[in-house]
Amino acid sequence: MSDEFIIRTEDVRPEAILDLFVPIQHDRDLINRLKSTTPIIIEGSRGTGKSLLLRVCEQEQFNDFEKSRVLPVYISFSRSSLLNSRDPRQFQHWMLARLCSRIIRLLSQRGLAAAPTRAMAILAGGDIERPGKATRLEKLSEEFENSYKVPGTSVDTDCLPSIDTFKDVIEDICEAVNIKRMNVLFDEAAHIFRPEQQRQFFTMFRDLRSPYMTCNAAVYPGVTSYGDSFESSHDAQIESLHRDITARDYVDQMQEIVFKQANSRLQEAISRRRNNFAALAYCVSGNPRMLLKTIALSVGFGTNDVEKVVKEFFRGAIWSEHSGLAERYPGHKELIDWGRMFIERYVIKDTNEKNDLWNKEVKSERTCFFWVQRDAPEAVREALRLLMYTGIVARIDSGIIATRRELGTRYAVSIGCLAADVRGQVIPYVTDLRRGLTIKRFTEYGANLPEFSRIARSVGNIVEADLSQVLTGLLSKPIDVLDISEYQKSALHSLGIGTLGKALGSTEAKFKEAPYIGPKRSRRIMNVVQAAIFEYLSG
Amino acid sequence: MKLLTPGLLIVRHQPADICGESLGDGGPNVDGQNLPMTAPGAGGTHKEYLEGLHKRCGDTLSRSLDERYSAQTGQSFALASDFDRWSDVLSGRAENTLFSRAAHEYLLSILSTAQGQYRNGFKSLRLVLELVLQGIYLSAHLVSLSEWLSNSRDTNWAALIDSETGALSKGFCNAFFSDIAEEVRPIQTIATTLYRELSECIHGNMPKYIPLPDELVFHESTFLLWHAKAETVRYVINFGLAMRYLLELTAGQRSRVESTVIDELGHIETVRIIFGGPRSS
Repeated sequence: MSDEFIIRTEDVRPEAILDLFVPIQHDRDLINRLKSTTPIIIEGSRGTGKSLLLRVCEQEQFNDFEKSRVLPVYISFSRSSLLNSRDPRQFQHWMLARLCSRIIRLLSQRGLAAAPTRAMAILAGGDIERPGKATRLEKLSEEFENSYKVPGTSVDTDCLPSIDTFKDVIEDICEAVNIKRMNVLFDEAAHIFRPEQQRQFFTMFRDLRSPYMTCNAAVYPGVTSYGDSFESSHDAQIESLHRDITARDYVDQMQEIVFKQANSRLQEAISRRRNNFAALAYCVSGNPRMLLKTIALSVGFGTNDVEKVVKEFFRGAIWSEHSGLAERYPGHKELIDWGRMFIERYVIKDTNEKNDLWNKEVKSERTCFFWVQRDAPEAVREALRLLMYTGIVARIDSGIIATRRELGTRYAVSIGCLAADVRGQVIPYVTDLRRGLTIKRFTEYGANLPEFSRIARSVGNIVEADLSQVLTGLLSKPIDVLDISEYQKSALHSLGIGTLGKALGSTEAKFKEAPYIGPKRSRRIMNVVQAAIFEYLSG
Repeated sequence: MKLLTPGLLIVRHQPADICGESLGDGGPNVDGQNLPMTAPGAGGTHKEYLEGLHKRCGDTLSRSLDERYSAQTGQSFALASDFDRWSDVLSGRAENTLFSRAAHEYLLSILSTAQGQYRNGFKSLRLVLELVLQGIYLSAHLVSLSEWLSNSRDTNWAALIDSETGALSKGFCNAFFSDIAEEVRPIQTIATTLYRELSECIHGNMPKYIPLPDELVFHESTFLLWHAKAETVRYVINFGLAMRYLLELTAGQRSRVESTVIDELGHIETVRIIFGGPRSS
């Protein structure tokens, strides 16, 4: 019934982004703040719409450029997984090279290439021979990105400017071509399993700040290593991107997101079976990508279809994605497995027992929230962060006072996971839950829970993952591990592209060889496949 | 107006369109779809050519009426029957003329589709949607209605679907059936999407939503797609008519449209309750 949905922002032409955007108030506020001079870091699980917000900000600022003279600079660091050179500051060097190249390209695209020649030469890493030809710094970025092929390779970074020189150059350019400031939007900013990248990113993020350049970023919830100089409360405001499932118009908002992409047949089916749609919308706990994926699976959108999808997706698919992290990052396996155990045996069980009891007692309140005491071991918090990354858990707020005046953090567990665990039917369960859902009711887990001590003892000091050791193994994985459509997978197989490494090394020309695929579609598939690979490598 | 009144079937047929397309520069062409040269026979007369096409339409009609598609065809005829009922209860209203035209156009749409003239089938379906929404909209704008009926005003789709003032806007719904005002927004979106999809067949764009076969033959997926779109058109039309008129009908009139309204809109609690149905919980 549904055509293929676009589930990744990378799959949309930037200028078409505004057509897909549903201006939910919280999102609108975040975009306005991204445009302001205060640095914002948006934190959100996979598929919550971080990239979309950055792109909307970019497009709106482009449209407004003649008036505001603020130039948006969107830049994605999704390829950071591939860096594997000998340079200990490889990530910082690569980021700076990418940023310089992106700015040159933007200035030329916007007809602002009348910037001072010297300044442009510094951004290029040398003289610009002719427009369109790769600059030295572009070649430098490519060398870093190819370093996964020969781990430990050396990259000469002499042509890179220092941060201070870079800032001077930006000032000169802004003065010369009448730009008030550049608003940098870093996407996929810090690799969740590479703390050294996180530290280098936040250090640069802080150092880049000037009257001529503001910085914003989108990160996954697992990012914690901010480095020595970055103060998370002073140097940026960290905003969590989650949709308030207790809001009155929550289902309408989610429906609008789906309607933007649905054909009239699916729109009709959703409108006729609004209760089924509402159940699904609550099950995905505000994650648009998950909603589009589950709707695509709910073939006829009938009650049985939705019941089946919820049970299968939230019992199987979502957990296999989470457990898949352990396969990619064996150093975190124990935490990942413990997180699953904690959610399944404690949080889901306790929450459903509470809801069941309140239902029997004809009490109106229901919950999907739980609270973890502030003094809980670091290992527990890390396990919860990993669960947030895959969207099984969302952090709602911290500094919440529970019984005995203890402080802690409040989380929400995926309603889909709760619903998939009930014995009876899913849709009546979710309908009952959503009517009484209140954030005031939550299950409390104190710091002394025996399971908390057990995992803390077991993992000891958490070892930072070393991606370089596992990268080669990951690139030999079959393409079936990717989160792409069956059609796209079969196109890859038809070209003899069986592994991630092979897909990554394939050019656009190779994708064009697939039957029935023209130039536009081949580029689209290549972009989608690459985005899926980088997401897979990110964790 | 009664279902299948033969004398009225000529209201807006487009034989001229068909002739125009078939004699265009692009060679033998019916319904915008190329026919293989073998159809009229090399060097054949116009009469033979048209008889050849007629035979193809007849053959396609037989395929379309195959028993395995009787559920879809029956379902699509339900809208023709809905039109009958609504026309009965709205017979004294000036705008009913538009609903009658929509009813005739709908029958032609079914016929075109059954004969394999799919493009015409989808084009007519769009006109049906347009005429009904126009009728609903003009029912609240009497001067414009009079102008439209005297052929001094055209249909403007953008005005019909305007989110603030159109026939499926919240304000319009509030004026006639405020209790279902929360339901109207998605219906407006569905109507917009549907119109965009069906317009593809008017403008001859590269197919994105409605791929058409290149030949005048029975084509199952296109045939089923038309029935699916017809079902969505039925949903939007019944919502629009119920929103505009249900509260103004007498008890007797309501019972005349009850089965139609409950079939299509029984999932909306307020509508169900009007007919004595149960509350949601």
